Amino acid sequence: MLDSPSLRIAVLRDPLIVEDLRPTTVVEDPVQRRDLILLERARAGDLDAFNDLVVCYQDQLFALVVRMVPDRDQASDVTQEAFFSAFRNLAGFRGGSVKSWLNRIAVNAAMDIQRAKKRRPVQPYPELEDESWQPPATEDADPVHTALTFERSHALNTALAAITPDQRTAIVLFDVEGYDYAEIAGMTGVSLGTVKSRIHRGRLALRDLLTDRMDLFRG
Amino acid sequence: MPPVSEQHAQHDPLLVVSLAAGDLTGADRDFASSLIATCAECANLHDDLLAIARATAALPTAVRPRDFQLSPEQAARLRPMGWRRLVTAFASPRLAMTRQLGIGLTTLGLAGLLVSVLPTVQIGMGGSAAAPVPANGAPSTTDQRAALGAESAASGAPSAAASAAASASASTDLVPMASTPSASAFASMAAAPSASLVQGSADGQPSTSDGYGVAQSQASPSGDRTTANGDGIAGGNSSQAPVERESLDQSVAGEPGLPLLLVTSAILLAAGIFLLVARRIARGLTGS
Repeated sequence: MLDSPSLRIAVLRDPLIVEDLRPTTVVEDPVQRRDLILLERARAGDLDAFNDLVVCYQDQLFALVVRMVPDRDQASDVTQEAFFSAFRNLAGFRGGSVKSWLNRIAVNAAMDIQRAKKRRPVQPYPELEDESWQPPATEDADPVHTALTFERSHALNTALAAITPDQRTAIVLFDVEGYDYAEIAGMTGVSLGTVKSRIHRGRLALRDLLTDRMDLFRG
Repeated sequence: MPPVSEQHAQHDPLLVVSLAAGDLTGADRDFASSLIATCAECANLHDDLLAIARATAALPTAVRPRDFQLSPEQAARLRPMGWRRLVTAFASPRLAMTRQLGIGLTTLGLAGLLVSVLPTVQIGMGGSAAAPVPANGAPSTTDQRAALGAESAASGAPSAAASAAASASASTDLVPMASTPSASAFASMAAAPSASLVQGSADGQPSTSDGYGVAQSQASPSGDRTTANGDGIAGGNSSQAPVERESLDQSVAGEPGLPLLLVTSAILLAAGIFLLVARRIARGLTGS
């Protein structure tokens, strides 16, 4: 029956359409695909997979947090707490970018610590005197340029520490991390207009604070 | 021409900041650009803001002081166990439908409660609205009521004759009470039980009925009982009020659909609120 002429004709007349049943939402970004694989393995209980994620993002996360939290030790604790929180809430990952998810957790942790420390202000950026904060100097680096960079960073960090935590968070996420307004709004849980306002007013406050030292930034 | 500083004091610096951030379009952008072109301080502000933004983006990256990888002991401590596992599972996106389910159950519960409670509210309104009925059909003062009671007691035959028609109508429905618009809902709902109760209490004898329905019918198995109440209709009404209320409650409780609907709606409402609150709390605890 299968080799009957009528069936052959029918097959020729209506060729089978082979549908591609693979998921169409394939993650093109290899970094994001790697992150998702690691996250799925971590969800399944693989601690090494989660630690691989930690290794991938701990530098970036600490660099983000240390700009938001004045104290370097506190920033370290906040970063560790952010990874703890991420591990606890692996099941809460809703898809998308793992990096953004981790950043959101870190930003929330940093904002929490800033709110808690608001009543007890600390010396802003004591780590500025720490050698590890300064850009590494190479043998062929111009001493004048290195000193200028250090001075500029010092002045800018001091001014950043003087503006409000909300403005600082928005500026760091926008200028340093490169997120757009909508992403920052999603991370910080405020509206788009609030994010814009915080960035604008924060920049204006920075300029007021740096008015006497703007020669460091010009040219 | 005013000095530059005075002119600049009238300019909006946030407009310049918005222009530096590239957030302006159209007329606002043109206006801000004209500010930059005509006001030297606005131009300085614009340049400074761009320089600060560049410097902020170029800030050196801090070196992390330690490694943040988790040890097996830390992981074991952090893994959700017991009720935390339940909370984590409840807050997970896989159970995101609990919110919609909670909203749906709450809506259904509220609707059911309204449907089941509304007739009771109408009964309350109907009772209060039915009170003025004697004012329409009977004298309202005590003397007039006494006179009417005495009259009805004295003239048993007319009273019985008058109540015969009322009893006949009361056997089908409470026409006098239902004649008031506010009591129509009660009458339609409680007609059968009340009517049977009236008939049972009256033992088949005709009763006086001048608009009081149940109370008057129960008070009229004998003319003496009506006069024994002292003030005729008023006395009969006051002494029979608990009986009337009881009969109303019985009629409401006797409706088989109402308690079931009430209980079901309450359960649905409670379940919906529980789902909404539990998910909210779970998400708050997990920080997701």
